[in-house]
Amino acid sequence: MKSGIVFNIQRFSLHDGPGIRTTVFLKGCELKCAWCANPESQYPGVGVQYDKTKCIGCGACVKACPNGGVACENGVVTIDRRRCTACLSCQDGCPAHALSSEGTKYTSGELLNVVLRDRHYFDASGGGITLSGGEPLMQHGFVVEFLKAAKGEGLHITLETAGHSERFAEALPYIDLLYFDIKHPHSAAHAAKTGVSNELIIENLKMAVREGTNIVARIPVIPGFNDGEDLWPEYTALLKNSGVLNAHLLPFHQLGQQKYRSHGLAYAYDGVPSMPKEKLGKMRDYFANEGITVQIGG
Amino acid sequence: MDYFGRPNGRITAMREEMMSIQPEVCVERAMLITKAYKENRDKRPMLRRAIALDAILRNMSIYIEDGGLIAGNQASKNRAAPIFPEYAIDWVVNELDAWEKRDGDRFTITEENKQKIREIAPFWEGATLKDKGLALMPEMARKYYDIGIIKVEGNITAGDAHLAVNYEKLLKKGLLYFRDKAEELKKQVDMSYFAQMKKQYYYEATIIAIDACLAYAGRFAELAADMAAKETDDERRRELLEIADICVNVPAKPARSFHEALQSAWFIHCVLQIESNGHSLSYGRIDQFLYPYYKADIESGKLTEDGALELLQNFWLKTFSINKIRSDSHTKFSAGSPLYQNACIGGQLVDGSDAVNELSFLVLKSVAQLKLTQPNLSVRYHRGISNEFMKECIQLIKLGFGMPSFNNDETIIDSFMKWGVSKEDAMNYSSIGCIEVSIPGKYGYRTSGMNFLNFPRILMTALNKGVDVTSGEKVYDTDAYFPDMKSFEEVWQAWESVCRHFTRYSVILDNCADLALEEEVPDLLCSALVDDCITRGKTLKEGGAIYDNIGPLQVGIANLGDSLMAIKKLVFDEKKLLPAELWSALMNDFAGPEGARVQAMLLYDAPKYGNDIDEVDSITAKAYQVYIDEIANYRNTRYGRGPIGGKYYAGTSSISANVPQGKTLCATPDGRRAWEPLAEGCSPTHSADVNGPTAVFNSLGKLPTHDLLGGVLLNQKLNPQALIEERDVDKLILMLRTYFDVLKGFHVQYNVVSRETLLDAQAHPEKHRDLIVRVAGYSAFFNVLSTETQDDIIQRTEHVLA
Repeated sequence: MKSGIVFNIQRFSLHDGPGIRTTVFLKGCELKCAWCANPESQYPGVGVQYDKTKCIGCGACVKACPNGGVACENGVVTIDRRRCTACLSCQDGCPAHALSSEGTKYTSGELLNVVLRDRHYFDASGGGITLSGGEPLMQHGFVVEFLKAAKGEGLHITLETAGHSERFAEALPYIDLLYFDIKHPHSAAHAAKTGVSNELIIENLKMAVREGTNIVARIPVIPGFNDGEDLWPEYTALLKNSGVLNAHLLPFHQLGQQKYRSHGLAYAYDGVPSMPKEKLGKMRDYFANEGITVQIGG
Repeated sequence: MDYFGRPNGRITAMREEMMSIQPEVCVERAMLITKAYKENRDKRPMLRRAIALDAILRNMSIYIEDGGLIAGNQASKNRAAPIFPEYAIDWVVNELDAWEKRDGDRFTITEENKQKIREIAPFWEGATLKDKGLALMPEMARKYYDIGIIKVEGNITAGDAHLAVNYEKLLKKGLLYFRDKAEELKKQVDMSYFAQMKKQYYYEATIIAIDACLAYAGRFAELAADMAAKETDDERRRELLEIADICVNVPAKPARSFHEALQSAWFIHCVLQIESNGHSLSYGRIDQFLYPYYKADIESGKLTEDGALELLQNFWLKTFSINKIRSDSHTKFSAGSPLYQNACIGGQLVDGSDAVNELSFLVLKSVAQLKLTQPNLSVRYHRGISNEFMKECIQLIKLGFGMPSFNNDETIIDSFMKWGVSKEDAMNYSSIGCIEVSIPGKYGYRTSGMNFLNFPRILMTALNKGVDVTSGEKVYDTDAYFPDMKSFEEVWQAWESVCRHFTRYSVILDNCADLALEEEVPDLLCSALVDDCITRGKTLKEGGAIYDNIGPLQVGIANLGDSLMAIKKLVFDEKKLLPAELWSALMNDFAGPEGARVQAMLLYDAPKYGNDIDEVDSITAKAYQVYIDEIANYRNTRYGRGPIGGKYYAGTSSISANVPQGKTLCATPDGRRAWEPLAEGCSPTHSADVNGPTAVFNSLGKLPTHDLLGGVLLNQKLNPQALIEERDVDKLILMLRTYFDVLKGFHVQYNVVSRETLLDAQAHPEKHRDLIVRVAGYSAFFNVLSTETQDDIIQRTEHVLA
């Protein structure tokens, strides 16, 4: 049985597909979107996270780290990510449980047992499970094995993906609903802010349409990046040419800001205010006029 | 948030008036009852009591508010709390000067009135319910009472209530029907036959009590007519004349209109709270017994929906005008001076069809517009309840004052039948007080609300050679000492034995309270309105009710389960902690780095109840089952004297008892620090439930809910953000349906208030005068709660729908 690294399992998710769902967040992403709200999910391996509120400042972690990667000054711990090998010695050594692993290993069977716990709620509400990330398809071997098992249980499956995967076709047959990110219609702009161009993504989108998968395009609307009116016709043309007639516009939010700060990571959008939903009304109307069914927010 | 709209001008003004009141203490009742008792020392308590009620109702101050459409007041002013010296006088005298200085539940009293209380106090010394109740307690039981390990203070310092009388019958037949029946049966009593002798006095007393109530109504008829004669406004004069007319007719005779039905029910509800200061006096299924009158008046064009709404709201304002002062220590168990006057709507008709009607919707609207702490509104959920009605309920929940709470027909009806209630009666159950359930008009007092047993405290005693850690007294015969224990089996056995021992003593204490209540303070009017007291010639406490089972309250379920789990896993399975090491950390309240290390392990390395983790959920259920099995062996004081049942069942509708019961408890093996609150009802420990609401529901679903007819309290807190979108509301309803239909949950209620709002209210109480929160099974104004209870509410895990 294959195993993979999960960084969060959220039960009673309401905004990741129909009904009541359990969302599984998988670690690792090839894209490096500058606005990413889950920066800790980009790194594919297990990391260490620090909770300042639990820390008692005893310094036990400093002694526990075999690589000299942990420092404790004025009762605050910092971890040098370059020296961290995720051996988790610091976690074991911490008496206050302020350090914990970022990401937990699950076999596909273990993960299935967890998601099945809320089956009653899925059945009653027309819900199911959603795979998110990171990019779930980074761990394609594990994910495909899991998807197969989940499909065997008759669960409704939603996949949230950035679409940038060579192995996309392997996962596709198990997907009931695809939440497919379209971050920018221009390849160069896409590459500039996400680190990858969008050709493979568009190709995969078209493949999913050909296979008859139920698709919702998701556009994270980021100030100064893809919120310009001039892009709207290009977006709608891209969607219509691909055959996708449902879209969600996701207004830029700052739920991830604190994570950058606590992880000591640089953040391009630090201090940029969250975008109110109302701001997307005109964009929604434009899309709707073009025959695309739009919802603001997930 | 104007979904339900605002009340009209008259109601708004009355509400504003009521809200601006600083509650006082009223001494009228105390003076009148003292005089009546003095003059009737020779009479049997039952007769003395009826005569005293008569004296109070004929002589107390009465008034009709400006614009008021419903008449009947409990004390000389709205929101003033009467004193009931016959139940207990010691705390009243001792705390006279402290009421104004209380942190929560403040009351004012004039120096003159303080003096009056001091003057009557000597008459009551040694003669109150409390004195008589304490005198009945065997030595060890008295010790448990004194150290508070079993709490029955509320039962011997106040009346019973915790029931709904037969309002349906009252409205249909009128009070004279009950009087005639008593008169008729009195004639048949053969005084030469000893077994019947007591009934003679019962009937005499019942007739006096009914006549007293009718005289009280008659006074309002006169008052309204007098006021009408002086009134210059034509419209108001017409209203007052109508009130006068109504008060002549009800409660004596059958109600002829919706207005009369409300007035009749109100007279009784109010007088019952003058007769006794028992709380949780509830209305029962108000949308059912009022419906025929509502429907007839609407159809005949006599009443408009707005008119009905106004009357209902006036009725709720009256309900809110009732108040109760409790001793300082009892106040901590019932924070926010709640009366728990429950009104129940929804549910099913006897044939299983949906009972929701237009009036159910109107009740929701009336309560929503008023935003008051009373009544305590509950909805009976069932599988066939419409989404339309559920959505309306969620709209009310969104207003954030904790109402309505939901009880589940899918579990409760079967449970009642299991406890001997007929199907027809079980289908007609109603919520009572907080979250407990009963059969209106047919069930004895206190379906829940008997003794409080502190589970984690008796566990700690069992592990400490029988010495209560808080008081240092040896209270239980054992040599078992945790630091010497070699296996979890020993811990488990200690729990089993201590649980059985204290369960037995809790029944002894309940019996003492019930015997004293039966002999000293019988409620005649209340008994007359519960079937079949009159037929049997018995008060409720003598076994007059058709059904009579009672529910004590168990406190700290989650703390018990989490503690046993942590001990099992960390000390015995994984051997990460030595027994002595854990014990020493607990006795030192986790002081020092070593203590902090142990506490962190307890908190984070052992699974916690409420996260849908089978290991800990099953240990919690198993530990609770010890009590559930044991309490089932006992009978109450009415067993074999008439009622079906006469038994005990477990329950956790433990109001805010988790706070004071935590305040008398050292650190516990679940990682809880000394003196901190315990978990509430069957809810998980604060902040321990990290897997979201479905996981909490799943954990609760593993408890033996069918055996817990005393209530399975679950509080959930929701951020208002979570209910903005219609689709989120739909999903919340689906989650509730799953909890109730599939997992057979008992109860759930929601607090939709953000943490920021609560913190702000603590810092700026003046800005949040009307902020109401769910404390446990009831709602209270946040401002009147003690700082500790406020903190407790803030700390409850807030479930944000993702």
